[in-house]
Amino acid sequence: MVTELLERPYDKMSSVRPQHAYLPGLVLLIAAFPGIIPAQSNAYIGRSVVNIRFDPPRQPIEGEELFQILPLKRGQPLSMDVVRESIARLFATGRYADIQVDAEPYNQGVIVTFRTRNSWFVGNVSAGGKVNDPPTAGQLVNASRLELGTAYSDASLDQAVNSQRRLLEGNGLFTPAVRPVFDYDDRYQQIHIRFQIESGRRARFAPPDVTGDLKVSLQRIVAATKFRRWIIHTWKPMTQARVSRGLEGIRNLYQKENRLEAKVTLESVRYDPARNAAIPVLRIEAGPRIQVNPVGYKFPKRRLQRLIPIYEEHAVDHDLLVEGAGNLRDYLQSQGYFEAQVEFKEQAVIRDRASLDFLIATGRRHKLVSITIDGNHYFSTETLRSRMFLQTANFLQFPHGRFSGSLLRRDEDTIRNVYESNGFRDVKVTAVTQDDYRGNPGELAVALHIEEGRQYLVNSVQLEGVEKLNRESLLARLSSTQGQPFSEFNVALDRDAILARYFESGFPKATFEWNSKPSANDPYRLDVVFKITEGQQQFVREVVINHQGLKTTRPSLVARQLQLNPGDPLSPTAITDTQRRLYDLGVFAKVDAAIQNPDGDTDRKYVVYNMEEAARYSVGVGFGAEFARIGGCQTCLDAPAGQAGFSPRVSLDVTRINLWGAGHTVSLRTRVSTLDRRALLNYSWPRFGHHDSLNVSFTGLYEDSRDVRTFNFKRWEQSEQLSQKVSKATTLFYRYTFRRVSVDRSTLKISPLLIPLLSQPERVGVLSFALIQDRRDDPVEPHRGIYNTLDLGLAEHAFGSQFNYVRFLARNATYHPIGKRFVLARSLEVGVIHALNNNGDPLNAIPLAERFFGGGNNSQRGFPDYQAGPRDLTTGFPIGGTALLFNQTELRFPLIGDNIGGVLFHDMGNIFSSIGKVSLRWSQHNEQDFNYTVHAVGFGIRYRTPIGPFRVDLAYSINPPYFRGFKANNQQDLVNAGVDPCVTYPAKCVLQRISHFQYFFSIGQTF
Amino acid sequence: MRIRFSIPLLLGLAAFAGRAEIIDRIAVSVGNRVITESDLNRQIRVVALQNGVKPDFSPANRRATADKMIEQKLIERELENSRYPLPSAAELAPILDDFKKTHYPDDAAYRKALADYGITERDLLEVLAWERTLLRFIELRFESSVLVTDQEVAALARQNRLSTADAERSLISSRADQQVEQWLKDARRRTTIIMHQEVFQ
Repeated sequence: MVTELLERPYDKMSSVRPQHAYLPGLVLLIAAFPGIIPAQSNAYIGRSVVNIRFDPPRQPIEGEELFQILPLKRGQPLSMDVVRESIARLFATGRYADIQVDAEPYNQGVIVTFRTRNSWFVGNVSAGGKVNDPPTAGQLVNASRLELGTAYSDASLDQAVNSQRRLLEGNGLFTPAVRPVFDYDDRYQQIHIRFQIESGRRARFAPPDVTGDLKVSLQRIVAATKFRRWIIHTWKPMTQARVSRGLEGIRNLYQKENRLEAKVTLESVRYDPARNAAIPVLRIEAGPRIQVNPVGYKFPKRRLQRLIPIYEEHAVDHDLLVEGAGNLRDYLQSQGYFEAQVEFKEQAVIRDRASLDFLIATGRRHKLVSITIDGNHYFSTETLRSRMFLQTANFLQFPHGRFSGSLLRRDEDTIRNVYESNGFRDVKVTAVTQDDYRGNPGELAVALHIEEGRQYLVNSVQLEGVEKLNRESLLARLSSTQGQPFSEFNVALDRDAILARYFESGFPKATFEWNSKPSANDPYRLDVVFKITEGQQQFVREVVINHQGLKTTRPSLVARQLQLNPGDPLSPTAITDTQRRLYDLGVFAKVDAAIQNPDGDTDRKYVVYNMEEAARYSVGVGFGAEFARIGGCQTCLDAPAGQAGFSPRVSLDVTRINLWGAGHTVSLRTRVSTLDRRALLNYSWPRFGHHDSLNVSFTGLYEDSRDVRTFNFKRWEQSEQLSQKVSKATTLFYRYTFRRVSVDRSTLKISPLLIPLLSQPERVGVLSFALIQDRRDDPVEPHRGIYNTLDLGLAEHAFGSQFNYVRFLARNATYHPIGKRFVLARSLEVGVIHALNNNGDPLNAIPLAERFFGGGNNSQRGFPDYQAGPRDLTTGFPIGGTALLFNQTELRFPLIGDNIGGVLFHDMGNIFSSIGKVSLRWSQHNEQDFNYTVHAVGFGIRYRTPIGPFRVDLAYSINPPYFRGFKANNQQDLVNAGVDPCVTYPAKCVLQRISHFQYFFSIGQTF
Repeated sequence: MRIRFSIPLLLGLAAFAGRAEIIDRIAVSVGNRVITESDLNRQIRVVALQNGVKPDFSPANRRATADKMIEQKLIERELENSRYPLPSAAELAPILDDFKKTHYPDDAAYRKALADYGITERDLLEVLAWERTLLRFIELRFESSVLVTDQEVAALARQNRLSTADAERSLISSRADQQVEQWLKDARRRTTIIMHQEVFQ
C-alpha cells in the first residue's frame, strides 16, 4: 500500500476527498466562459483565516516547529504572498516532496488546508543474493552512492542500479539481475533498500581486439596482459583487477621498449553471450622510442626512472620534464653538488627514434660544514635550528650535509613564519652562503641573518555577536589575549577554536570575521575584534538506530553507547564519539552515522546510525621463529649456559565475538614451537556491569614449556581478572590465579636428591593486584613519556596455595628526547618474593617454577634468555632467585635514512638468591657466588617495519659469571654420581663461564 | 488521479462552489526552493503586461516560463551563497517610473492595466527588481572576468561597422552570455529539479 502511495501519490487522497475528482468538471465549466482568466483564487483573498489544517494530520515536522515555520496564521487575512511563502518555507525543510494548499469557505472566513506528501531519506542499504566475488557486497553498496540520511529519489535509485551494473560488468558479470527491495519506515521517513543481486556467470577473457599503431606483435601484447594462463593457455575469468593489471602490463611492455609516449586505452569490453566471453577493445598508439640521456652525470637506470616522472606517468610532456629536471637537480644537490644546473632538450623523431637529453652541469662538489644564525633574541639558536631542513655534514646520515636552494628558501620561510606567528610582523630573514669557507675548497657555510623588528602585541580583544554561548568560555580558549603576541596565525587558531565550539554546540552555520587596528597609544599594540554570526542552532530530534544490520547484537548494548539525547545540541563531536564507541564494542564491521536531511531548513534533526555486524568467527594462523642462545637438548647437561638455537613457531587462534549478542568474546589461542606448547582459552566480558571502565575475563591455560634451561614444566592455570581503566593512561588489574605446575623430572638439570622440594608438583593460588600507567607518546616507538608497571601478589593457603609468599615486581621506564634526533630511554625493574612463615633458606621455600628467572632479550642482554642469577652448584644450571634488579639504558638515534636506527645500550643487574643478597658489587667472589651485578654494553640495529622495529642486538658482557658444571649425558648420570658428584667424578666437573658475547633477534623495542 | 464525471455532478457544481478549492501548489522544485503555480501565473501576467499582450496560459508557455524561473532560482541561490549585493529600493524607483512613462499616458491607465492583468504594483516591482539583479549578477560574476584583445574588438568593429566602444561592449556581452549559459547548464546538472506535471497540463 505504501508503494502505491509513492507511485500514485494522490490516489489515497482522492479516495478520502471525492471533491477533487470533480475538479476537471469545474475546469471544464470555467473553460466554457472564455472571458475569465484563471484567477488567483480571488474569492478567498482578504478573508480571515479561520483555521489551518494539515492533511495528513501527522506531519513530519513537530507541531510547535511547524507553526513557527508557517508564516500563515489564524485570524490573519488570507494573502497569496503569504501562501506562497508558506509553501516555500515548508518545502525548504526538506521533509516534503509535494505541497498543495486548499481553501474552503467557512462562515465569513476561510479554512486553509495544507495537503502534503512526505519525502524519503536513504536508510540502510545492503546487497545480497548470489553475488560472485569480486565485487564484494560492500563494493556493490558503495557503488550505489546512496548515502545514509540523504534525500531519496527515483533518479538516484536508477543511478545506483546503473552504477552497480557497471561495476558488475567491469568484473566480467554481464548478465546480472539487480532488483531493489524496499522497506519503508514511515515514522522516520526512511527507505531501506536491499539490492537482490544474481550476478550470473563470470565471463572469461577472449583475445583482445587491438587497433592503432602497435609497433610490437599482438602475441607480445596479449602475453603482457596476462589474460591467459601460463603454459596451459586457457583464458582467465575477467575481473576489474585483472583488466587494470593487463593494461599496466602493456604499458610496462612499451616502457621496456623505451616507447615512453605509448598510449594504451581500453575503449570498451564487448560481451559474447554465446561463448560467455569478454573481448577487451584496446586502442594503442605506441609512439617513438625515446632514449633518455643524462649528459654530464651518470645515473643508475632505476634512479633515473624514479626521478623523472615520465616513466611512472607513461607520458612525455613539458610539465613532467620540468619536474624531472627539478628532481635531478635536487638529487645532485643532496649529493653535495650544490650548484647543479639541469636543462632538458627534446630531439626530433627520426626513423621512429627520438632522444631526450638532460644536460647536467654539476659544478664543484661541496660539503655544508657550518650553519650560523645571528640577530635572534626572541628564539634561541637551538630552537630555530631544530626547525630547519639544512644539515651540516655528518658521517653516516648526510656525508655532504643536506643543502639545496629550495631547502634554503624553505628554511628561510620557516624561520620567518615562526617569528611572524609570534608577533614579529616586520621580521626579515636573509641567508648568505659562503663557498670555500675558511679557505677550504668545497666547504660551504650558510649564515642566516635575522632582523626581528618590533613585536606586535594584542592590546584588547572584543567578541561581538555572541548571544547563545558563554562569552567567558570562548575568551578562555583564545590564543589572542591581552599582552600576547599578535599574529594572523594566532587569529586563525582562534577562529578554529571558536568555530569548533560553535559546531560542537549545534551551530553549523556559524561564521567568523575579524579586524584589527593599532591602539591609540601604541602602534605596536593592536585592538582586535572578532565578529561571530551564530546562525540558527540545531538540536537532536531523535537518535535513530536502524535495526536491519543487527542480527545478533542486542539493541540494549547499542543503546548504552549513545552519547546523544533528544534535545541535545546537534554536535558532530558527539555523533562521531558514539560512532567510535560502537566500533569499540568490537562486534561491528561498519558503523555509519549521518544527520538525516542535513540541508533541510529545520532546527531539529534525526541522527541516524547504521551498523553492519562483523563476522562472528575468525581464525588466525601465524608463523615465526626465534634465533638466540636457546638451544641444547632437553635432557643433556652439557650446556648450562645455552647454545645457539633456532626455534620455529606456529600459532593458531580461533575467536568468536559477540557471544549472546552482548559483545562478549571467547577465544582459543594455541602455539607450538620447539620451546613450548601452549593453549589458552579466554572468555572476555567487556563493560562489566554496564561500566565502560570495567572488563572481566576468565582464562584457562595449559602450557608445556622448556623456556627455562634448567627444566621443562607443565602448567595448568586458570584465572579470573577484573580490569579497571581509571584514566586514559592508567589501568588497574585485580586477579585471582590458581595454577598447578609440575616439573618434568626427566628434564631436570639439577639433582632431585639434593633439592627434593624442587621436583614436586606444586599448587599455587595467588590473589594479585597490578597497575599499568602508560604516558608514552607512542607505545611502539616512544620518544618521550613514562611507563610504569606494578604487580603485587599474595599466595596463601586460604587461596588454595601450597606455599605462602608475597611477590612484588615493579618497573619504571622513562624516555627523554635529546635534540631532534636522539632519545635516551631507561628502565629499572625490581622484584622480590618473600616466603611467609619461613625460617629456613628463603630460596628453598619458593618452588622452582615460581622463582624469578631473568636475563636475555628484554631484561639483561649480558645473559642468554633466563640465564641470570643463582645456579645449581653441581650442574651449573640456573635455579632462579627471589630478588631481581635490572637496569637498562639505551641511546636511540637514526642511523641511515628514516627507517634504520641504531642503539647503544648498557644493561646491568641480576637475579639474586634473596633480597638480603642484592648487591651492586661488580666482581664475583668465587664460582659459587652469583649475587653480584653483571654489566653488559652493546650495539643494536633497528629496522622500522609496519608492525614495529625489527631488532638485532649484539652485547658484550663485561663480567659474566663463572660456575662449575657437571658434564653429564643425562640425569641418571647425575643420580649415579651421588650427593656430591664433583667429588665422585672430579674430571667431569669443569669450570665454565657465560659467554662474553650475546646476540638477539626480535621485533619491537627492548622496552 | 481517478476522474469521475456525471450529470448530477454538473448540477451540483453550484453547491461545489462552496467546497475546498486548490489555491496554490508546487509547480517546480529546484533543489530546496519552489516555484508555485501562483508564482508561475503571476510571472506570465507580469511579462504579458510588460509586452502589452494577452497572458498566455497554454501548457507550452507555462513550461517555457517555468524554465526561465528555474534559471532564476539557480541564480538566486548563487547570489545568496556568494552574498552579492541586491538592488535597493532607491535604485528600483526610477526604473518603475520609467516603465510607467514609457507604456502608459497616466497613472490611472497604469492602475487599470494592473487591475486588468490581475497583478499588483508589487508584483511588477519584483519582476523589475529581478531583471536588474540578473544584469548585475552577470556583470559582476562573468563580465568582469571576460578578456578581449584589441584585435578582436577591431575585427568586430570593422565587420559590424560599430564604434570601438560598442564593439568591445558587444564582445564582452556575448562572451559573458556564453559563460552564463555554461554556468546555468552546470548548475542544472548539479541540482535536483522536479516538474510536477499535473500543473502543466
